[in-house]
Amino acid sequence: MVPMRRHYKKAPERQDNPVNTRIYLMYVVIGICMVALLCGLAYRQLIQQESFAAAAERQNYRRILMPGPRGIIYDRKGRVLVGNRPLFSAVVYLNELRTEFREEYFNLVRRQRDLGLNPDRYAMNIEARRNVVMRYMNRLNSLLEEEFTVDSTDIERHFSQSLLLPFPLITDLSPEDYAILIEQVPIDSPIQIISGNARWYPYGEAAAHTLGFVSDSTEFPEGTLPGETLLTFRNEAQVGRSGLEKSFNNHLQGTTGGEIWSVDPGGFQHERVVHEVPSKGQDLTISLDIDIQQAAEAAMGTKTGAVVAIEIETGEVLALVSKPAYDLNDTAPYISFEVDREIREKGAWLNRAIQGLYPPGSTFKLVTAMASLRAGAVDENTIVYCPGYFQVGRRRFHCHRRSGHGEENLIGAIRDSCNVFFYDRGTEIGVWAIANEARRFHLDRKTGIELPAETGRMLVPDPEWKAARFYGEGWFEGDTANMAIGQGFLLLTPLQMATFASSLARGVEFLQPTLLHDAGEAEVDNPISLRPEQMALVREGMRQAGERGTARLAGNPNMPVAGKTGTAQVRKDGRPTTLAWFVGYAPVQNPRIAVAVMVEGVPEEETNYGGGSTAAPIAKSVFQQYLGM
Amino acid sequence: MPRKLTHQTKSLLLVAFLLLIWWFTPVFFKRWTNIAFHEFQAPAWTGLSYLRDLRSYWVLRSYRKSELIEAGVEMSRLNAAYMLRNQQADFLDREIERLEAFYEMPSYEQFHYEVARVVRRDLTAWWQQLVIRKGVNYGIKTGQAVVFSGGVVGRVSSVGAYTSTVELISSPHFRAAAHIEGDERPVEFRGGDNPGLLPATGHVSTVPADIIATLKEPVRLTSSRLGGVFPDGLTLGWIYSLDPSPDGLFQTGKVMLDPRLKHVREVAVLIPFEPRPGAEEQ
Amino acid sequence: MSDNGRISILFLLNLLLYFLAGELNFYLAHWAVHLHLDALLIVFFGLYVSRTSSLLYTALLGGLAGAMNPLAGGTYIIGYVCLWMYFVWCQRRIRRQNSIHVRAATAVGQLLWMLVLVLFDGTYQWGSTAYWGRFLTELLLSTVVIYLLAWPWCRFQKKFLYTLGWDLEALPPPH
Repeated sequence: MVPMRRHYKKAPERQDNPVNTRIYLMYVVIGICMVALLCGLAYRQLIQQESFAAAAERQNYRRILMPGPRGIIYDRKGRVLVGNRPLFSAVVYLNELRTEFREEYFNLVRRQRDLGLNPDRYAMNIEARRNVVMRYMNRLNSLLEEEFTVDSTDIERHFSQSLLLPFPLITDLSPEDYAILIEQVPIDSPIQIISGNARWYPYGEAAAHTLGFVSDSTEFPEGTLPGETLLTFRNEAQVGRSGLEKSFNNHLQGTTGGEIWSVDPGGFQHERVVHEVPSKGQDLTISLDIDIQQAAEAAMGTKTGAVVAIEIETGEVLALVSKPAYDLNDTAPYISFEVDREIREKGAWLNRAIQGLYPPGSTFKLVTAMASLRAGAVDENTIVYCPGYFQVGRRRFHCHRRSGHGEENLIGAIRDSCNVFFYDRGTEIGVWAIANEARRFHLDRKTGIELPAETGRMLVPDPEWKAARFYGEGWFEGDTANMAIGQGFLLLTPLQMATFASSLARGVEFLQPTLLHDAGEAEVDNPISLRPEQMALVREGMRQAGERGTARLAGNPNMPVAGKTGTAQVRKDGRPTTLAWFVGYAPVQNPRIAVAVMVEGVPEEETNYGGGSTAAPIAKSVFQQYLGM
Repeated sequence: MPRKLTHQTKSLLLVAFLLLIWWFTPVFFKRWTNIAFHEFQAPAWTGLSYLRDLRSYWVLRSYRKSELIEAGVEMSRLNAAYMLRNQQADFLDREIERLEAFYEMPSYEQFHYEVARVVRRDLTAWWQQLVIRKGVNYGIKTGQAVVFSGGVVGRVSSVGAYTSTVELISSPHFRAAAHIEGDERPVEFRGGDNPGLLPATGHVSTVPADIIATLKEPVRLTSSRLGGVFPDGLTLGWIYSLDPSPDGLFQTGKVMLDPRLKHVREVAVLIPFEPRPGAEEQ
Repeated sequence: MSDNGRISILFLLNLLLYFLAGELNFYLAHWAVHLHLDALLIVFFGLYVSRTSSLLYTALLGGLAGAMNPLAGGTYIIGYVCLWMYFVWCQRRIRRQNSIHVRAATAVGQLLWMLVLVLFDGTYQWGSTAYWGRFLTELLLSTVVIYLLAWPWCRFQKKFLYTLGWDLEALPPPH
């Protein structure tokens, strides 16, 4: 019994129970912790695995995008208008200078300490990098006998933002400098001579506004290089900023290639794992004929203005001149401050052909003539007496020939550009008839040519517009008289007038102008809804103007031209001057080309530009170049 | 050293000690050692080349009299032809000088030729160089152009007292500016493709896209004076085909080098004339 | 003659081989081939000769060979010394009396040295087929020639020393 009792008692065991409970409790706590850890592990391994893998990838790889070169722009005869030229640069890969940076840094720190100064480590780092890069720059300077320097801000920016890209020391090396560096910089030097490309414009100023320029940008399509989530460095691509370069940027832009590099913890490149070669963009053939363009520009000389020539059969623009212009080669590889200032000072940024708004002057009389014919206010027998002026209320509107033209019919009025005839008929039919006729020819809207920044602020005024614009001011008969001869509030672009001339020649209300060559069928609107004999009156008036009237200097006996000149009175910089206009087409019987010329007068020089004397001879050069007569 | 170390451990420690000493040796001392070693064996290489010359001499001595007469006649013909060419060249030189004076143009840098025998050829996969039998004693300097009858041989890479080392154009480290014959735009030439048992080739890049080279009409790659080392017009090699680069701007191609480069025995170093006093002012 | 005096004669013998190899390469350049016989210059020093003198002469040979090529200064000295160490390491792992062993060890030594050259120089040529073609041609030719010459060359040097009164066979192996 005793042993049993002793067995039952087991005092020590009972005394151990509370300890065991605590241990079990610990086991439970540890167990819970382990389960929590396991759950966490499982969560990270199974659920968050992808994001961790992506983060690791982001940490270990870098992507470099390399844009492809742009496509070539050709004129309608296959001549290169915009090409690419090699651009050689001397660069250094900061990546390869790590050891030198470190050594230089320690030298600088040691020097500071020797002087008893407490070195600013950040500043020392920057200085060390600059010193090392400057050492290489000095090597180039000694070879090329130049004195280039490097800016530590550029180095630091490059270091923090584009470490894997080459740091440019000298860009756009001349062929001589390129040859010297190729031969005298050792192959294994950290200085590398790399080749890129820049836009090249063999015709310099010609068609500068139409072709447009490019500038460097990192905004370009990524292409098919994988690794969108990786930290990406972008080399600069050339992106169209104006003209066709901008309109067809996507077409001309090359296909982006690039590389993916594995990097070390410092972000320095280690090994290339993916490489895709960039390729050239698509070429573009445009409608311009560089011979006609150059003929027009030569005829314009130093004058300010615009010339537009359109092929009537296709609507293709053969020449689009805006003067003053600028040499496109000055814009590549970048536009310097000096070049920008120079272009701005001479007012050459404005593309006057599509952005310049001008009263069309007497060339608009053709619209008034057709409006009058349509309204029945004019026919072949209509005679208006021109005494040299036209009285509207108390105001006298003069004809350009103060002594008057005498009796004029429509043909004579167009030939002689008689203001009184159109004052008379214009006021007879009213503003709405004229405005509606202008709108029928799309003169109140953009032509839709493939150029960016075509102005939409052209104006075909009417009483409603005037009331809205001038706080309810009424439309006067004088306004109608002014509008009838293309003056007053009316504002149009030279391209619109060229489109109008080509439409008129083709007998349609609107011929869509285009800058693309062989783009297909010409896009035209409705035929002009006037009877043939009515149209014949207008065309005959234009023919006689070209033969012996105001536009006679636009043609010659071998090359009959139908045209209409205009000399609009405007104020420029607060001083009066004139705008010389010509619109017309040739040959008369079978029109093939329509031309609009506008030349701005220069108030300071007190120029006396007239449509017949100034604009018509310029148009003649264009006709001659195209027709070969 | 402790006795229990084995022979190999001791050797390893010795090697480690030697490498440690080398590691801490100043650079100028290493450089000096290098030059000293070079100069030490230069006479031996030169001596070997003289032995070769002697052997050639005895080979020539073994020719029959009739053969020598024939060779002499041939040589006199050649001499006559070269004399004629020399006269033409003199005339052209004078014409160039006259035109330079007329247009007040600076005169092209002129060279004189220092002909030297090749004493050693060291053409491996990693470097391609010759040692020639003239050095500082003949005014040769590092970087000068070396030519032979077939065109450019290379560039002087180092100069000793009596010998110089020439880096061949087939060397992977060689790079030079060049021209396609008849074209003024500089292109880049690199050596480096040296397959065993086959002729050496080089590589040309940044060739303008309008240059055409075909098997039937290969183009000649010539040296360019733009780089500042070589005169214009010396042959570097021939290009039989060009491949357009993806950007369409340039072409690249293989340059077939003159096979005689591998066994050239005599070369000429182009030593530029010192500028005349007062030439700078002009 | 002292031991050092005898070893210096051995050095001169190898120097002679070095110049002969250079002369051979002068003619082989005609066929765009280069024989690399570096291991042949060191094998006898590494396998048979006492430590300090042979190491010194190996370094001297390295200096001479290095001065004649454009590699970074010291590459050859360090390379030759390492090659010497390899042969020392081989002493206890091959039978130095066995011609096949000596031939194979020397050929492997040369192979290692050429691999070092591939790693230290010409890395930018790795993408070129011509480079690898050239390298393999030279590697194959050099190792074959070395395999053929290693044993006769060692035996010749041994006999040469014997004639000078120094019997390497009679000496105990180095400890």
